[in-house]
Amino acid sequence: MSKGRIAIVAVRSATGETGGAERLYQGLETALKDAGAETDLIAIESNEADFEAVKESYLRFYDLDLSRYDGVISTKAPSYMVRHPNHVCFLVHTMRVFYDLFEQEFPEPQDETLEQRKLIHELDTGSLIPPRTKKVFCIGYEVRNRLLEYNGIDSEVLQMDLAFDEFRAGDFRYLFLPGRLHRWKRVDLVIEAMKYVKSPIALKIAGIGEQENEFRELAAHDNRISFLGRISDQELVDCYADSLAVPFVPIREDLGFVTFEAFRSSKPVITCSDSGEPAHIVQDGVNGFVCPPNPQCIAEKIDFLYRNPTVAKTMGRNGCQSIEHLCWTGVSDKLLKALILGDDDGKRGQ
Amino acid sequence: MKPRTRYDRVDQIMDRIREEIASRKGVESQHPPTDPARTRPSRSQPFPPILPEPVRLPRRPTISPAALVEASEFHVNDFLGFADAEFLTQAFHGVLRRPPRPDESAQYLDAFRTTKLTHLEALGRLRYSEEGKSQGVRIAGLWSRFQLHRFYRNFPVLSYTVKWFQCVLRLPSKLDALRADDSRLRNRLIQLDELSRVAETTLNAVIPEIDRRFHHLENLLHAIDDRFNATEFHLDSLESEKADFDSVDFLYTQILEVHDFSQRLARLHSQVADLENKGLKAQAYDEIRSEITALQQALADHGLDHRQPIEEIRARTAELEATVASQDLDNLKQRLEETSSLVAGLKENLSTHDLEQLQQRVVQSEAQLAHGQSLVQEIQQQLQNLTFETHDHKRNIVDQQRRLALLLEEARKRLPKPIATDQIESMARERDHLLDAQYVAFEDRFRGTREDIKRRQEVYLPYVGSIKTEFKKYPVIDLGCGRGEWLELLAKTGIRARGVDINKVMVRQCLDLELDVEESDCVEFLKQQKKESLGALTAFHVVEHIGHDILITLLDEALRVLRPGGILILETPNPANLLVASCNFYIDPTHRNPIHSATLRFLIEARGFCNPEILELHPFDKSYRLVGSPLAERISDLLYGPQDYAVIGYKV
Repeated sequence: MSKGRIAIVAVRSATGETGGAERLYQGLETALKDAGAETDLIAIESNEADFEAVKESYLRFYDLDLSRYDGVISTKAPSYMVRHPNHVCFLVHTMRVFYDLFEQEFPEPQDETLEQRKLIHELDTGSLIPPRTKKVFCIGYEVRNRLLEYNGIDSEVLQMDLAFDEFRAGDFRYLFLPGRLHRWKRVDLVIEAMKYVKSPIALKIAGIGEQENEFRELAAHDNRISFLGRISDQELVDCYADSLAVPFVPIREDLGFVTFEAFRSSKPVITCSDSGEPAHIVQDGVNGFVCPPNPQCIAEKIDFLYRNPTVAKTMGRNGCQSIEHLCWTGVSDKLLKALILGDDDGKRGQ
Repeated sequence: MKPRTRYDRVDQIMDRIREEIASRKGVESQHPPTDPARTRPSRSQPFPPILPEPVRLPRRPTISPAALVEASEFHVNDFLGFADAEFLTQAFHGVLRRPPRPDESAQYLDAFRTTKLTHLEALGRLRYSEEGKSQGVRIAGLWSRFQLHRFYRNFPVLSYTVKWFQCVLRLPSKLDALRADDSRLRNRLIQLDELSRVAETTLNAVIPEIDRRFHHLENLLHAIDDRFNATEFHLDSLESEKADFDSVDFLYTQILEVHDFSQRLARLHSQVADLENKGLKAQAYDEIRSEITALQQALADHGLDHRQPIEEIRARTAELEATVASQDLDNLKQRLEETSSLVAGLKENLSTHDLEQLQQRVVQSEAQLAHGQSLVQEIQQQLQNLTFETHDHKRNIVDQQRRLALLLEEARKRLPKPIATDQIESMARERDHLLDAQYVAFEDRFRGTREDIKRRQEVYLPYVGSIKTEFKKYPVIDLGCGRGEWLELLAKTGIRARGVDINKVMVRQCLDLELDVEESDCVEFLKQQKKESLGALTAFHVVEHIGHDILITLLDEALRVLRPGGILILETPNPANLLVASCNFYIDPTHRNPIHSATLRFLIEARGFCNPEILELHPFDKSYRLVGSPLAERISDLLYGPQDYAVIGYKV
């Protein structure tokens, strides 16, 4: 049976930055095409500079004409505003500033801000339920819990694979932490932890970002820490391959490809209890450590792994095994099934 | 229903947002939109129907023409129930099996309306016309009434009188009929009234929706208009661009022409020179002259002077040549000189000062080396002395032990009474412990320092830590705890642990460190423990000291005393390492036989433990390894691979 014509509605950041979401779009497009569906990736700009821009972005997706497609898969906020009779959402995340990061961003919110949050909640909730959306899938347990908590909508977790899979295991020599240098990634916590690390182990930080200068300054007195800047995919693979462990301690991360990449490279991951999805994936003492977000605790784990590379190896191997089941085929199958079933339901409903 | 209202809410909010943005943008939005998605209406969501279902008003039943054509028998009243045009259609279909032609219908209708013809007469005429006869439709009750009608028509006065009487006679029944009609009509009026109200409310309900759609269409029109304007504007700009492009093209051809001209000029000049040289006649010269003038004229027409650019280029070339000649060479020369002077300076420095210093240092180093060598000799001498002394001590101790054994034997013989069994047992036990101190010394020598052992055993912390149990209630037991390094490590992590060892000296050392240790045989100890009372069991370098039967008993007892989810860790030398299997294993005289990791793994699984896992441990330092070829790697794996391994199993 022909799978029909499918549109993936992606969100392009107005500031042009790319990250995990872009890799997800790519992977999803490839997977759907592999499954035999004619697939277009439609990237529309969304601007979150201020609330007016946010509203305009919502309207842009709401007014998007997708009538020539048989099915539509939306992804990140506000792409699920699209109107199409056969629409499922593979939710990456909602606009987090109005959800779990609200209190952090607006410690003393004004009435207007509270109103805005209410509006966004209402729009999101209204759009993510039938008949506007047949079914909601989401990328991880963290996102699922949030959607359930704030919008009262249950969703199915579809764990996807990495879009890029060249990772390999090599030696166990240093700590490696790739990613955007942003305060939400809490690279500073790892730098802080290095102050308590007694072992002569190097920490390599890859990536660029808003807080790069702050982090560099913080690490200035420790010659074990080095910043690699932006690196190529090949360099990324090599850096992972010879690392001892990956200390990845973001704050309430939605997904964090870093965890998966580290596991694929057979490296243990040190994360924190409030790190979001990584804390769901890492099993403490089995394929890494989940410790309280304080530098001493992280340092202890680093020292431990340094002293016991055998354990690091075992944990890394466990990590690799724990994500062996992930595959894109599973994701595309579920989505296609939901779209076709959704279609039938829709006809009966009319 | 809640979802339905929320769904509507989204549309409401989005409409509001759309208005807000439109009003905010104001004049701005009049311009053609940059993003088509912003104003293009969604075709994917067609408007829902205005009314849930079409309104149906009740109608009078009619017989369809098709049904009339098919029927072949009628009663005259089947037709007379209708009037005017309706009657005509019915009559034609019924009688002639066809619709009336326009001229026929005009003629008949005119006759009806001027009362020249009654319906009955018309029906009769149709039926008894030639066409009607050929169709032969039976209409009951027509013939007699039609004939009567005809008869009356032939005798107008008579018919009038008869009609008059007929009317008078029929008056009462007509009155009744009229009354019935009246009430029917009233009823119909009420129905119509009701219908008009329905229509009114429906209309009222629909008007705003129509209005809305009209607005929407209007907006669409505006948008289309805007886009049309934009396109037009775009077209204009394209046209002007095209014009620009054309002019560029034109210029280019001009330039080509000019180029051509200048080439021809140059050629002519050279020809002129040739000709002049050859001393040709003035006429030919003049001809050529005139051609040159013509060409120059043509050039001037194009508004260009060919000489100027050429001269300019010449000037620039000369300039460039001058720069290259003067500046760069000088520069290079200067830098060369600078470099050579630097090199000379370096040479000078090296030869005089540094060499002397280096020589001095070499002399110093040699002296230090000699001193070091003498020190080493001294130390070696001292070491030798110490070794001799140690040997002395050892001999003494062995001698003492022998004497003690003799004494004990003597004592046993000389005791007046026969010795009680327990006395014999305690003596025998004492004998067993004679070598305890020696084993401690042995361990100190061969097993490694406390810190070494602790560092090695840290490996097991995450395994023990991963089991979810209350260690306060269900402690970890370390069988053959030795000097208690592991117990100390566990205590530091806050996990309650007890040690068991058969060696008295070891136990005393542990007690001195305030560790919880008991002197007992491991298997005996396990036998005394309650079922499911322990969280974890560890035994490092124990199983190679006991026989196979005892090992099985130990495993069975371990399974009995562990809590569900509890863990068993057994560490032992790894015979897969050639150095261990052939040599190092036999350093310890109390070792019985090495156990293969596959064997131990099989045994614990066979005795009921789950998910057995092998942890390979303590390879030689990397510096030992031979490198350079696959063979070297393989040999290195065999010789310098893991020296110990651990088998880990879980109780379900």
